[in-house]
Amino acid sequence: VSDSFLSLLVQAARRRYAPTWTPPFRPAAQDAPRDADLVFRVSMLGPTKVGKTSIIAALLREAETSLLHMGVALEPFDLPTEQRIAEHRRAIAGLLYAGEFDPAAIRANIEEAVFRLRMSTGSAEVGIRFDLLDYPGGWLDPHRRGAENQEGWDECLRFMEQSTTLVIPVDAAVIMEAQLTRQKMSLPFILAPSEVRDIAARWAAARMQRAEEPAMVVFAPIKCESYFDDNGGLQNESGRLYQLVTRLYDEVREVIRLEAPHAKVFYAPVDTLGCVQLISARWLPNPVFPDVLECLPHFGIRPPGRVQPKGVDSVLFLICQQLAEARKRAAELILKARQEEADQASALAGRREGLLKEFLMRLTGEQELREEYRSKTSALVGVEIDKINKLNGVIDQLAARPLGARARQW
Amino acid sequence: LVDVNAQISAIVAVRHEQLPVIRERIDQWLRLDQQLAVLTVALAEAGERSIDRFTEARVSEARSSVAEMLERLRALEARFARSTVNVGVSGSARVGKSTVLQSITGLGDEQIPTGTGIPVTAVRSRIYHADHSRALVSLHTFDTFRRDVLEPLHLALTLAAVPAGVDEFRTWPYPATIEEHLGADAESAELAAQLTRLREIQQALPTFADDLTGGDREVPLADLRQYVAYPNAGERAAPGGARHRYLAVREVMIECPFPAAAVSRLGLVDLPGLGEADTNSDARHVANLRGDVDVVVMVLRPAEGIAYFGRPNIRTLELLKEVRGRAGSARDFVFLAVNDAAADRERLPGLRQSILQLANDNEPDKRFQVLTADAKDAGQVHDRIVAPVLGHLVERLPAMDREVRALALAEAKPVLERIGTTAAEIGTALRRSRPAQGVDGMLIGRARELRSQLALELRVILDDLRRQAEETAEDEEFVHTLETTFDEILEWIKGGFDEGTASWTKRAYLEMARADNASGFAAEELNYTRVDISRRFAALSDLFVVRVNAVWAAVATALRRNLGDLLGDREPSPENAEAVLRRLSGLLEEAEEPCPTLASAITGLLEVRIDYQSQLYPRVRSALSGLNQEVPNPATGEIVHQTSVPVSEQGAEQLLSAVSRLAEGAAHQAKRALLADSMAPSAVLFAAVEHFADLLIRSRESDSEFRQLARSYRDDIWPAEFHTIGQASARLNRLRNAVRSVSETVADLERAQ
Repeated sequence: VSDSFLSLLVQAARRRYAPTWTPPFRPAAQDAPRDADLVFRVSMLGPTKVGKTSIIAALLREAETSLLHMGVALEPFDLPTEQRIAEHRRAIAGLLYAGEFDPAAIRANIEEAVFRLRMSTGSAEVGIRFDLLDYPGGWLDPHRRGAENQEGWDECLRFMEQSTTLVIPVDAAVIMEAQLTRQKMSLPFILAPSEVRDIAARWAAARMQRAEEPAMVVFAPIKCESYFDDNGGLQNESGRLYQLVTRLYDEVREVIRLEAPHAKVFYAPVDTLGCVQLISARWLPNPVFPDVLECLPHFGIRPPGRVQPKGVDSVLFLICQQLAEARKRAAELILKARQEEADQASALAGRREGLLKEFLMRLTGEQELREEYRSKTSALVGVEIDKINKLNGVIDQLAARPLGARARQW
Repeated sequence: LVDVNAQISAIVAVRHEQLPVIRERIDQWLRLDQQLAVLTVALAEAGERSIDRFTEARVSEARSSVAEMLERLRALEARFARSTVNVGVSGSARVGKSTVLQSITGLGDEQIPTGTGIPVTAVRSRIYHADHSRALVSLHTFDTFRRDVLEPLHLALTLAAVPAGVDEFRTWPYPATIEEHLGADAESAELAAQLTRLREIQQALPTFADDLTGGDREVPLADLRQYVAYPNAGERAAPGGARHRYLAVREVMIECPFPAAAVSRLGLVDLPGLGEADTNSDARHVANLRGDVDVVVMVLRPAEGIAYFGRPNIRTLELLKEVRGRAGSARDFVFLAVNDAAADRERLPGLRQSILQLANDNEPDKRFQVLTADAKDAGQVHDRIVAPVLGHLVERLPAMDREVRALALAEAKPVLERIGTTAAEIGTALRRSRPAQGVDGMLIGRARELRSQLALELRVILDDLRRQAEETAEDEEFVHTLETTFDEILEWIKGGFDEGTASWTKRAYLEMARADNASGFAAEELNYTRVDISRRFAALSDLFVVRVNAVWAAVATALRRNLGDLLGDREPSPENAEAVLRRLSGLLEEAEEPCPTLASAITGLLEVRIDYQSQLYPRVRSALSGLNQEVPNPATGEIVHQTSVPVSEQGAEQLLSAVSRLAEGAAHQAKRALLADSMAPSAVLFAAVEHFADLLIRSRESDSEFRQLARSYRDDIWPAEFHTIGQASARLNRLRNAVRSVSETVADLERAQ
């Protein structure tokens, strides 16, 4: 009976105390990031119509196939993201079906958009949430941005500064088709390398302040279908493309190297569709700045018109590697906090409090709560270790995969 | 005498045989004279300091010697050219010369006027036997009258000047008396007589001035007297006075049948007044007589006042000695004929005695054979004068001829030696002076300047081409042409390849249906399209032709600007530049001193060709390679079909779309390939002109060939510049040539001796 009574008392005390039971100290893991809060940021940095959204769509599509066998997945984390990507895919599919592909036909973004994505690692506990910022490329140009968009642009800038990864899409067709002096002179207006450099400088400076976090920039020439012969094209002008991109973005690279020496920089040309072929390109005066020429490429669809991206996997793997790395760094911080808390809990549970107090603690169930706390924190350490192990596995898997023939570290 | 005639004919024949040689010699000496004249002028013109001034004097002396030689040779020629043997008849006035001539020839007073007591014959006459009768009167001009008549008298009278014309002579203020002229002490009867004669001639001027016409005048023998004889008393007394036409006569040639046929091969020369005038006048007589007479019969008459062998006779003999020269002896040349007129017979011994003493050194016929005959007695004259004279001639003339000839030629030797030495001295001086150095030095300088200037101008052209070739700015004309061509190709594609899209698809469907597949037709159409596109881009060749021509024109303009008149007046243009450069290349090859490297530089430049076929097609072809039905996948190597459509009307439309797309893409690729090389034409032209400039300016041969060019076309390249210096050079060349000619002729003459 007494056991039963005592037991009932203890349970009552536990019921009474447990919901509000807190350890008699500030737990070390209290400030450690929680998984739900671990949202990494990736930013696209490029002018309007360069193909930022196309890359995002291509990355998601690529992930459907390339990551599958690794037990890794990349998927929309919320409905708006899913809708946005579906919309983009439909537009592309429509164009491909029509047999002609005019990039100008794809509507340019008019407001910033955050693609909320999640990278799963095969275990529900080790998913990686990341947000990918897409914004109207026109905002890059102060003339086009307009005062009404300044607030949005400031948010974008903050987002970019917090991003561990910058993807800089480069319109390969524009670079490659600019042959005449006036056309070449228009490239800085079209591709805005100076604005890109300025933002990259801010980003690099911010990265330097969080040097413990990984930092990566990927220069991704897109619409490369006509300049490589590894994906159905007949000509290989990849060397010239590399030279031209290097020349145009040399200052961007240089400012990153100076401001954030730890940042990794990659060159990864991609075919987002793979089945298009540049037929011709016209250069017409910009309606607002007549001295500036705009490139109007005309693409045809290569039979059989099936989307066949190339080089996107390199970007995808770089991003995933980068995310996994970042996630692991975060996990390690959590683990450290968890271990400290577990140590605190263990010390608390084993602490001698005097006979009376110990009696009372037993009587009130306090000791049992301490014991539970100890075992709980100890288990959490195990969980974190497990996550890190899993992330290590993912990282190793991603790292074991070659970068791709087109890409190179810059 | 008939025999004598035959012998004379033989002598004449022998003389004639020698004429060609003598005439050839005369030609040579004449040539030498002309060459010396040229040399004299050339020496004066050249003003060459290295030749001392005595040389000119020696050349002048040489000319005098040559003139003397020519005089001798001409005398020889005259002597040998005659078809008669000439006998001169000399003697003081009134000794009966004309009477002797009448007796010899059988002519009468009409032809040979005679008179008594006064001098009759005023003019030298030649009298020849002929079948016809005529008299040829050679008339003075005022100049010859002045020279032969006035000058000797003025000189003798020491009158300062000589009237220059008829009018001046007419009013010439002669002194009235010799005393007025020479002062009261002057007591010269001879000078007084000469002054009187001069005044008489002046007074008589109106009567003969009309006859001072020069030339020969044929007059009837009946009218001859007034031309040859002093007016007689009757004529002087006639109203208006006598005419003195003889004063206008130089000499007279009378041709008429000699009644005394035996002397038909004899020429008679009347020599009036020989020894009577002053020395200068006589000297000219001597010159005229050389070669003109073979022998002289000096007529003497023991008339009142002249019945002795006086001073005039001795002077005449001296003159005749000069006429004879060194050939033969006085005896061979002069006979003294005493007119044994009955009226004078008492004074005859005195004359003979004086002849013996004064002419023959007191030994009869020692120096001169003395003949005696009555001049009026033709028989006596023939027997005693003509016969011995002719006999002597027949005997001595051949030897005398040989001697005359040998002497004349022998006198040439020292003359030739002197001339040869003088010429050699001038030649040596010229060689020492290296007179061409000035021109050559200047020419070398100008050639160097020409080369530098051309280098500079070619550099400007090259800089221009280099800019075009190297600067980022593209060749706008090329780009424009290319864009235009591309746009035309696009239009052509959109328009259904000239055929129209409806027609194209209809034909495509029919062909596809016939073959039951699309690929054959597609392959053919793609091939046609590829060829057509390539052909359309080939139009760029026209632009290249324009470019090449423009560069040629620039180079030709630079060359022409620096080559003076060598390339003519026409400004080089792209249209004619090739012709101008070819012409220059030809000039360089055919120059007096050929310039093969410079010529090859130009021909090399002319060989530059930029054309679509050889330079651009390879690139375009590669760009057009996608315009094929089957293409290899570069990644896998597997053959890919570029078009795949169903055999249906819709398939035909799809095929048109596919072919159009491929055509546009290929044309775009071709345009890109061509634009990537838009600087190529400039680069090719730059390289060509650079190579040209290297060969022209910087080759090993350049320096020497520019000098050769300068020497070959000096006056074309620098027309004004070398004018003066060229003249100086030409003058020196003329001098050199003159010296060379003289030396050669001297050598010829020396060999001929």
